[in-house]
Amino acid sequence: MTFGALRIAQKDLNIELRTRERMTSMVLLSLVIILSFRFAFFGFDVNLTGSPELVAPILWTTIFFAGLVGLESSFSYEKENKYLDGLLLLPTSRFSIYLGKMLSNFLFLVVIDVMTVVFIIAFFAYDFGGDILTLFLVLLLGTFSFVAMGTLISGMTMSARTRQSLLQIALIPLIVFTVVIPAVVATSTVVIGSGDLAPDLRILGGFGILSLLLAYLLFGHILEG
Amino acid sequence: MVGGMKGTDSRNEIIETRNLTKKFRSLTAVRNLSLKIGRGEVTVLFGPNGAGKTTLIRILCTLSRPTSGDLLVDGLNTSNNGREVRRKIGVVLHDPLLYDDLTAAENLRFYCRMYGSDESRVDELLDLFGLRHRRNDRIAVLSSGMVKRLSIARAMIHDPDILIFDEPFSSLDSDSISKMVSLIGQLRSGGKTVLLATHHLKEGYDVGERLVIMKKGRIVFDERKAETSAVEFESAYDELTGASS
Repeated sequence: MTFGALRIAQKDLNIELRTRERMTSMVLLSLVIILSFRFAFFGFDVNLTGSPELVAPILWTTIFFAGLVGLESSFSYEKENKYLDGLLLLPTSRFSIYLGKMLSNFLFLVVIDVMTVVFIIAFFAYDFGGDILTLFLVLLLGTFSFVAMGTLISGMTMSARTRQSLLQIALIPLIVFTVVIPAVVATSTVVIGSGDLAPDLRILGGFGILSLLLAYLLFGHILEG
Repeated sequence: MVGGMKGTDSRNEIIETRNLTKKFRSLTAVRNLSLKIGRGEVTVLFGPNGAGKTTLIRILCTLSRPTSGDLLVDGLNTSNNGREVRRKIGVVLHDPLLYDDLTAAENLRFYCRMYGSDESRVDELLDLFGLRHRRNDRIAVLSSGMVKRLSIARAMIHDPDILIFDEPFSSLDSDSISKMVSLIGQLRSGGKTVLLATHHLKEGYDVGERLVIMKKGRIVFDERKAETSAVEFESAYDELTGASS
């Protein structure tokens, strides 16, 4: 991680702390999704503990949708407000700009990860027990992998008028087998307490690293294009 | 080409373009353009809309890649030394490139850190541009003149050798234009190389040492100010561009 990337991420965090625009949308969306599941599946009879296999899909559906909202505004904020040239004029590599944006997207989504777990505990009275640390390992790795590719696609689609749908159209097929399914399966393995975590963690980590490599090779061309 | 000036002593060239061409699909914005700019020189690019000034400026500051040709800044080819070249230049574009949601000081501090400059430079520039008292105000609440001054401070945060301005006089009132002319004079006195693109003939003529007119992506006039009076220059501009100044 370069110093330039850290400073870009720090700048994004400062702006978010001041405006709270992106996090407000992401938190509200995650809350709405969790509440929808809560009342759709269980009415007023709260008992997710008896159905632990539902924890993973509820958790990741919430994280992915909130993450898409965050990713969509990652580069479009710079582009629409005409700040992007300021970043491109800096004596830093284009990859550092990607890394900075990826880091801030990652941190925003980690906050959503934590809040989603808290919402599940609060609204479903679910007890993660001793699995919580392993669960967070899976959440961090899944979030990294999602954001690594998502930030790259967000950069590619920032100039498009229909960037929100383009981001989804381009990103979702790429992450179904590489992030969504491994993340859900790994989370279920942790929550249910049986099975082997390693293969899914390898897929998540491998795809995250592959996304970084692609960004390293392509991001300069994407920004200058 | 009227005048036919080819540039300066090669030892003193800080910017050199060689057969630079930029195409956007079927449109050629810059055509086979060769230009040498001397160190410490104030060069003004004139031309009507669509002449290719902004495209050339964006290539010079590495925001856009040429379709063909070379660009050297202080001997460095921009095609493979973009980061080093960007350290040598400060750029003031039409957009201020300042974050509305951050304060004046926070914006300058961000750019200062990105360039690895000493943070004392932030207050130094706020003082220089008379904005110290607004350091904790967000950009969104500053006047357009203040934002313009702050955008110049941003461009100067790393004390670059070369300052590039794209349309520095547009959307400024007459008082702010005078200040801008004075600032460019100070930069010249400080030994900075200044390149600016404008369609403000009078102000551009006043600040420039070298006057270049572009039309349809080509240089059609290149003279030192000492060799052409304001009246001669204006009539050459009208004749070459078909415009009425």
